[in-house]
Amino acid sequence: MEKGFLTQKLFIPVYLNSKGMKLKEYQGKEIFHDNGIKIPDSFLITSPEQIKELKGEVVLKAQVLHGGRGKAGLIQTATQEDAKQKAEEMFKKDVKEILVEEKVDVKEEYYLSITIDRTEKKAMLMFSKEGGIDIEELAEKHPKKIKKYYLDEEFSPKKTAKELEIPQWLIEKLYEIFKKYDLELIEINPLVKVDDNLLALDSKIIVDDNALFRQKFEKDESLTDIEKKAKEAGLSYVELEGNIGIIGNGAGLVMSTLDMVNHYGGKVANFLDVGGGADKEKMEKSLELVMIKKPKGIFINIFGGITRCDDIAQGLIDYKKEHNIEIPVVIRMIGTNEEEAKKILEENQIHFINSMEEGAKKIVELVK
Amino acid sequence: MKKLSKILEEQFNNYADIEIQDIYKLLYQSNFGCEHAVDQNSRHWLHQEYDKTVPSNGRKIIDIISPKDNIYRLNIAPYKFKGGDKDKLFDWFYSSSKINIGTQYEFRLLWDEFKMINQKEKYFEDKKVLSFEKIIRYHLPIMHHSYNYRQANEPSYRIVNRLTIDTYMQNICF
Repeated sequence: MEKGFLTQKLFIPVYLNSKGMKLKEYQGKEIFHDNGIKIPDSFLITSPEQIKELKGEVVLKAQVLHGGRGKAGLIQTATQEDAKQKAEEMFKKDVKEILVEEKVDVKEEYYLSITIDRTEKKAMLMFSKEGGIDIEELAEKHPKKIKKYYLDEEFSPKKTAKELEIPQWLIEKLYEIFKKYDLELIEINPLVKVDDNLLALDSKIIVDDNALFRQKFEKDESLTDIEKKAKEAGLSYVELEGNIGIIGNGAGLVMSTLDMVNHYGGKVANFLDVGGGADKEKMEKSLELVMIKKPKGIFINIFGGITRCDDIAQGLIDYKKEHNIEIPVVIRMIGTNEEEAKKILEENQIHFINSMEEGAKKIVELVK
Repeated sequence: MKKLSKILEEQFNNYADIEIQDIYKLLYQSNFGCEHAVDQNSRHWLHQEYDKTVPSNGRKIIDIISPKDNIYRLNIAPYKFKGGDKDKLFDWFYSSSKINIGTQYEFRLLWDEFKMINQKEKYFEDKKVLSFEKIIRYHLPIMHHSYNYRQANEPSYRIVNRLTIDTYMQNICF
């Protein structure tokens, strides 16, 4: 047997445990198209009125991330006569975008993907002559019908292409995209044969979460300007509508802080998680971001572990002095170098509070 | 199998002041199970919590929280009321913590499903859901119940996997 060729070996594809960003079908297809993989003619609509003259029968495909679109009536064939009406019905089901795609006559359907095998820590190509199916189901019931190849130093695109009877360039291109976009999964299912051409009829792409900072996808579009700035600085910030700025470390702790301030009748202006191992610079950047919304007060809630409380305190003092901040600031810190932090804060007349509850209560009183 | 919409409906019917982070917590537990770093040393502090809980017949022992029907919240107050054994409860919890279930990808699908249900049921304003979604977009943090939820419901439960308790619980729960 050729090296690198697997038949029934058990594997755990990384995307099954992924927190990566899943792209919508049309986004994946844009990537295919930009990289020379053919896709059917299509256009994206956000309202039924955008459907004008159709060349022939089409498929309306709701652009949602969850599975089971077919069963939920979110993929439907349509003609000029009923396309608008069907699109209208889909939009009523909380669908924001529909891909209107030419209906193609399919001769053969294949499955082709690249993912990462966690156990082997290698990228792996999978192919099946039975496309359009649920690959996990096929892997379970008919594992021999899926061919798998590790994309390691022994992998030969030429040999593989010959064996699978698909073009070598397609394999190479798919792997190139996989690496270029930092993917956990790239899947064409089905890859169809139409008049001797191979078309990607669907796309499933998951981008590695850790690479999102260098990959630009739609995800950013919903971010406000401050949120984008925060993201660039490596901070997790969500803009809210109140007037009390919140800074904390750890999403759970920040969420509890928001909750507590709300409970005492305050209105929070933001969620800001400085993350683990925050230092003086990160603290200063956090304050800069929080101050953009001109809050009436700030509540800082830090659990010192790797993060040193005295670093956070010093960051606060320096920023406050440099920018002449006069709004009330309440700080609650426990953990590493807590005493040193307390001393720095007391010397600079900052409210230091021991418990989150008291801190929340205090800041609400101060901004009233 | 229990539909997520039904699970949420029951939660909103049986518990007061549910905030969005409480739903996130429910979905998180539903997908990942108890996911705690539990070891035998945890027995002591979990027993402390158990001892503090006042026995009561006010709610069901079991809340099914997973559409796959494999994860339960076992409420301590009614469990105690019916004479449940605390060591056994710890053992189920401990065993459940060793069962790895759910993936981050599956969680995202579950969250999407919740959003679709929320569109219909209007449990929360869309704006609130979107803001919260930004918090969990890159990481799925462990969160506590909201303050209001804790005040209203005094939650005290263990997350248990169905596999670990089915045989034991027939007599006591159902």
